[in-house]
Amino acid sequence: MRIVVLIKPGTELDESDACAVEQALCLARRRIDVRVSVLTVGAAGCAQQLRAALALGADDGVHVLDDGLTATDALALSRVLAAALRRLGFDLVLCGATSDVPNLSALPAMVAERLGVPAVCHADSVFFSFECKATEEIVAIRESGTEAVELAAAAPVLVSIAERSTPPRYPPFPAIAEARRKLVSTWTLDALGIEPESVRRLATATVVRNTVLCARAGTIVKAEDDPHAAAVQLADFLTERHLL
Amino acid sequence: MPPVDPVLVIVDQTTCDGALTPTTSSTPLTQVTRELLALARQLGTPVIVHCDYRDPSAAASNLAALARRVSPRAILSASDPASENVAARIAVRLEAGIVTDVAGVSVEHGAIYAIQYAAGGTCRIATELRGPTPVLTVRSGAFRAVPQSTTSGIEHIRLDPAEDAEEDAAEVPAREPRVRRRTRERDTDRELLLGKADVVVAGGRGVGSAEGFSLLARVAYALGGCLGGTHTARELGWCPDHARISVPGTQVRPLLYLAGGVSGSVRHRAAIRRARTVVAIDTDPSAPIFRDADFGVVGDLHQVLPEFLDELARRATDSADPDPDPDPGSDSPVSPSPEQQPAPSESAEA
Repeated sequence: MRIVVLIKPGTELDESDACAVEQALCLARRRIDVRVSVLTVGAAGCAQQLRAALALGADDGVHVLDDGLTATDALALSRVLAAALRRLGFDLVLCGATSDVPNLSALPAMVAERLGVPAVCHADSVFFSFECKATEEIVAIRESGTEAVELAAAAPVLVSIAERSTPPRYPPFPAIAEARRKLVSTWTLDALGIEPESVRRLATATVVRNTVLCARAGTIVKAEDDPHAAAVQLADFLTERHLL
Repeated sequence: MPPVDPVLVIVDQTTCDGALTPTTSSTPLTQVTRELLALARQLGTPVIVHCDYRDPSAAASNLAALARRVSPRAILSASDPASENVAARIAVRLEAGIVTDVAGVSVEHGAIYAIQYAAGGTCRIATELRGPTPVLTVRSGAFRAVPQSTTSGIEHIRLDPAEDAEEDAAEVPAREPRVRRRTRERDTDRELLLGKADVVVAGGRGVGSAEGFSLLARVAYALGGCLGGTHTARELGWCPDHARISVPGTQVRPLLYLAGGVSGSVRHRAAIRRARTVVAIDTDPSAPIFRDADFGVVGDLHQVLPEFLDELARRATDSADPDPDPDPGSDSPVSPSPEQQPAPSESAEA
C-alpha cells in the first residue's frame, strides 16, 4: 500500500500539506505494509520542504527538479505531478486542500482529473475500511459544521485534506536528524517523458506581472454617537462577505 | 444568434428551481451568480451554464465540449470548494490557465489582469491572462451583484450529460466516491470544536465581567460559532482554559473572527493570524487589534452588540418575505472594482 503526499512548492511546508502528511502517518500506524512517500515539484529550494515532511515521519521523498516552473502555475504543476505519480505508482494520494500560494488550491482537483481517479476534496480525516464485500475502501470524512459526511471509494483515490484537520505533532530531534538520512530521489522532466518546452508553453497562459505589498485594507467605524448605525454597517459588511 | 465574446458563468443547477428554458426571464438568480455576472459583463457577454455539481468530472467534460464549440473569452465560477472543483477540472480539459479567488480585474492596453490578494490580504498580485480561455474562480463579495431586474436578457444553457458528452471520451470516466454515511453533529460538541470552528467570537478585558460574556455567547449562537476568550479573560477568570485563544492556548482558523473588548496583544494576534475575516469592537481607537481587522467598530460592545443582535433578528424576519433585489445602499469596505451599472431605486426595503 503506497501513499504519496503531494507537497506544494513554496517557501515553507504549507499547513494543509503538513496535515496531509499527518493523515498519511495515521494510516501508516494502523498497518504494517504502508509506505509514505512525499513528492514535490520545483526549484532546488523545495528540497527543504521535503526534508521537513520527512522529519514528520514520511519514509522517502521524490523531488522533480525544474527551475522553469512558476509556483503559481497550477496547470503546468498538475501536469508534472500527474506524470510523476504515474511513474511512482500509488494507492492513495493525499494533498493539502488549501494553499497560501495563490491558485494552488485548485491543484488537487486538477491532478485527480489528469489521473482519472476519484477524488474527495476538503476532507478532515481518512481511514481504511472493509465493507461487506470484503473490498478494501478508503473512507474520508468531511465535516461541514453541522454534519459529517463519510465518502468511500476503492483505491486508487485522491483525497485533499482541509487545513482544519489535525495538525502534525512537532517532530522529536532524533526524527529530524534521521530525516537527513532518508532517501530523496531527484528526477528531471526528461525522466518523466515531459518536454520542458511543452510545460513552458502551458505556463504562458497566466503570467504574474507584478506583486505589491499593501496594508490589510480595513474600515473603522465610530460608534459613540450611534451604535445602531454601526451595528447596521457591521451587518452589511458581513452580508457582503457572505458570512451571514 | 451566438453571442459575441461570450463569457461562460458556471452555476450549479441545483440552486435554481423549476424547469429552465434557454431564454427565461423569471428565474431568480442567487447573489453569487449575480456577482459573477458583474465580472462577466466587464469581459464580454455573459452566458449562464447550468451543470450538475454532483459529478464534477462529467460536468467538466460537458463544459469543455461546450467551450470548444463556443470559444468563450473566459470561464467564471464561484470560489466555494464544489465550484472550484469543477473549474479546476475544466482548466485541465481545456489546458487553460486557472486563477483562483479573483478579487478584481483590470484591463490595460488590451490585456486583462486578474487581481488576487495573498498572505492574509497583504500581498496584491496582478496576473495577466494570456491564454485563449482563462478560468477564473471569483471571491465572493468582491464584485457587487447586478440587480435581478437586469438579468432578464441573459442566455441560459443547461448541459444534458447524455447529449453533450465529448466525442473523444474513450477513457472510462472516473467513478465518484459514494456517500457512506451522514451524521449530524450534536450542538454540545461546539465547545470542543473551537479550533475547527468557522466562526469564532472572543472577548477580552473590555467585556468587563464574566456576565458580560453571556452577551458574546448570544452573538456566537446567532452567528453559529464558538465562544472564546483572550489570555487576559482567562487570567481574570471569565473564560475557561480550553477556550483561551492565545499562542500557548488554542489557535483558531475561522472564516469569521469577531473580537469584542480585545485590545490585541501580540500573543493573541498570533493565534488568530489565520482567520479570514477579522471584526473588532473596542473602545480604544489605537488598539493593536484594529491593525489586523477588516472591519472595526470603535465603541462600547455592550451598546453595539445588542443592536447588532436586533439587526440580525430583524433581517432574519425580513428574509421570510424574500425580496430578490439586493439592498443597494450598503457601501463595500473592500476596495475592488465596483459594478458600473446603477442600482434601481425600486427596492421596497425600509
